[in-house]
Amino acid sequence: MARGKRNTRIPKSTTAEIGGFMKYIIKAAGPFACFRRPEFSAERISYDVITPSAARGIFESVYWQHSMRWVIDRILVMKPIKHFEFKRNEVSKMISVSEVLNHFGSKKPSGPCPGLITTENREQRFNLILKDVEYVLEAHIESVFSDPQASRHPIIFERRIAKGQCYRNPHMGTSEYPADIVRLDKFPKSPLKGIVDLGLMLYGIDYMRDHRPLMFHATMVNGVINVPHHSSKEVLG
Amino acid sequence: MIIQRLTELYRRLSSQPDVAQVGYSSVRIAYALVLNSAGKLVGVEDLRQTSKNGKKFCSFFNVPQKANKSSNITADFLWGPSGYVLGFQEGDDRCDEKFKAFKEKAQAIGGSLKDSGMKAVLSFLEKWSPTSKGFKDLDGQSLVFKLKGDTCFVHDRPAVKEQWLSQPSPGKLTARCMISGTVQPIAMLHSKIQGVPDTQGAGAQLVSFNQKPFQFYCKHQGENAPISESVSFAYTTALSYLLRHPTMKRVIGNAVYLCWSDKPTSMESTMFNFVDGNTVFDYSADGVPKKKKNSVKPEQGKVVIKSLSDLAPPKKDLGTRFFVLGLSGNNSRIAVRFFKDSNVSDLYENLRMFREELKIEKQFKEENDLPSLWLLLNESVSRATGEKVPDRHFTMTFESILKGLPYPSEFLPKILVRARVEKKINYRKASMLKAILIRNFKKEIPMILDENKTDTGYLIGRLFAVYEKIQMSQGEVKKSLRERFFSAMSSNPGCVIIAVRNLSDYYFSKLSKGGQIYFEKMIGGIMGKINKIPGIFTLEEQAEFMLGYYHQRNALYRGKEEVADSKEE
Repeated sequence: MARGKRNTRIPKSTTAEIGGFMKYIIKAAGPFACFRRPEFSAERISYDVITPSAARGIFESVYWQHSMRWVIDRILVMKPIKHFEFKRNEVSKMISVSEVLNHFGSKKPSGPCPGLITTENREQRFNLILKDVEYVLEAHIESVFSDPQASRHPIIFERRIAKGQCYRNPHMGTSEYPADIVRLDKFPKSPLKGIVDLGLMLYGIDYMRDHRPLMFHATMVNGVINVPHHSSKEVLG
Repeated sequence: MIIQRLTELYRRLSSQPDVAQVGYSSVRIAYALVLNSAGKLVGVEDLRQTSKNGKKFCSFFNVPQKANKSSNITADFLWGPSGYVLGFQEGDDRCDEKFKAFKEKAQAIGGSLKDSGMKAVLSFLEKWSPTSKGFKDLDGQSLVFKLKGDTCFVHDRPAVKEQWLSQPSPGKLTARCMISGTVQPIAMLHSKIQGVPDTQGAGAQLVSFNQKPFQFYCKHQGENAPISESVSFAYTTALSYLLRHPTMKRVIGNAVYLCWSDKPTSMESTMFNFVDGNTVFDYSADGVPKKKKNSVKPEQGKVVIKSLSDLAPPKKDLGTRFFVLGLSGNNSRIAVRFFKDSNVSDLYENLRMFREELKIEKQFKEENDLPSLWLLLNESVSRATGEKVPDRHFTMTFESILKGLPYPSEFLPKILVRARVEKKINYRKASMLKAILIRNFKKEIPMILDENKTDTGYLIGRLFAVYEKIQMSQGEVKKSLRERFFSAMSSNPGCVIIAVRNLSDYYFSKLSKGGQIYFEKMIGGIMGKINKIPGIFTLEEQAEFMLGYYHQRNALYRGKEEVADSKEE
């Protein structure tokens, strides 16, 4: 059977940015969330609101390609900030890659296979996470490098989010806390009022410059946090 | 955010004399070794102070900043425990190495100085061979040096100080600080903080990445969260200050709570007094109060509170920002478990509400007006079996009080169980039940008996108190109505009401005419409001029962004179 090309007649985008800077709005809600603070990472202490990088992660779990990048514009916090604390058993060591390679690389592996016995390396870590969270995230797509298929990105994303397709379950910071997401048409108003200064928050990690943290000063006005563009001066790093 | 607030606190405190300056740490020192200019040891000065009960304790002094122990033997400059300074410590066989390290450090930093104090120390260290002869008292104690005739220590002498401060800092990495936002040298290891429960004696770190699973992208130590040296110094010094302060810190459960404000306010000294209360009376095993001897310890920050209005903050303080930080330990790390950023008026409102909700009429004349949180929570456990209140109950309740949120739902059943087992309800249990009903169930509970209240639980409680009184007025009984029926009546009244009524009818018939009229009126008044006696009480109704019983009982024992009057009629 002859295979023909599918009809992929799609109007060419005339603007430099894909989709003409169209903003996509997603509402993400979940019972728990943990957006880890880097300085308290030995115990898991969360920021008070979602970080832009976690918000990007939610969009990326629905649809992402190498040639595009999600840029978060605004974050809306719908519910008051509540915390939840508990202790969790974790481990204190990591299995060494070189040990494993040596063990299997040598002709006569001696001794047991290097592994990690959790009962011997138990470490209790304290968690201070968020409870009952709901955010509305607004983002747009930017192209990283020129890609002939670039104009298809918005269409594919819209189709996927409408169907509920995703590469991995969208989550709130860490994968133990899944998020329920739905696409919205309009950016709503939050029931929260007032101005809250959230201090310096993690914007993301700069993977090109030795994985350094990028920070920005987050202020929540009536529940809305305006996230600066990654190229702007407000992003410090 | 937390580190930022602590840094701001440090800026506020840095002008105070008992707060360490950059490059120095506040450490407890016991003795000063007095040397003459030739370096000979001429005396030992005891720097300790004596507390009220005759015990000696060491006070804090500023010494050159404690070196972060990256290996097991790290000497400090011109101060240290006897193992380093004099080369002997009982049970420690590495003292020779320690002394050597100490000598080398002193030589390395101060060797070029012409200062007589420094020279004296160096010549002393040269000639000294580690021996414990005659210095048994100094074993294990922290020591500093002093030149004979000086009032300050050798490390405080201007030339030595200048030399110490000009030492290059060990941090080699310069990056953007996550807290201040400016590019600064980054702290690789943060200073250890002592005084948090469940941590090692040597102290624990708030920010640490000491194990592989905590590190990101193969970064080491402080690279994982770049925080500048100055911010690191500021927040650790601020934390140490708070942890030593008598009133700005309190250990509740297994966590320590610290409080501070933007500007000095009275709330900083009084916040924890809301929780400490006024424990003037202690309680014997059967719940009767007896007066305590020395209940108030001002050095622990506890004061005698005559009334709640003593603790109210002045008007000018009301808008000031106020912070509460809860920390608990995990061996070598400190975990943040609570942080509240609000202002004095909000916090005062929540604390005041907590105390207001607890107010209820007293059972005995001598009862603590403001029972402490510890006393209140101990009503939910069995004192006889030595059962302890779990730590998380303390912390959860304290946090509910601060946030103005409902109490943990586990409390109500626990207190009710204790009341049923003990078969009575005392002042503290009644206070707690009232507070829980008001906060968790949004009810209105009066302080004394309210005859117009129509809640079923309350009325049945009142009824039971009246039945009990009828029996009690006949004199001593082997097994009173209360002992037999209190637990059953408070949880499933419908099952036992008939038995209770029959029993009380028997005693009723023995009353005098006047007494019968009096009690009949009372019972009629209560029964008239009861629609139905349910088979089972909900938890809320059980609490109401307890309170109705408590209120009515108090009213009856107060109104003895009325019965005597009616008898004469």
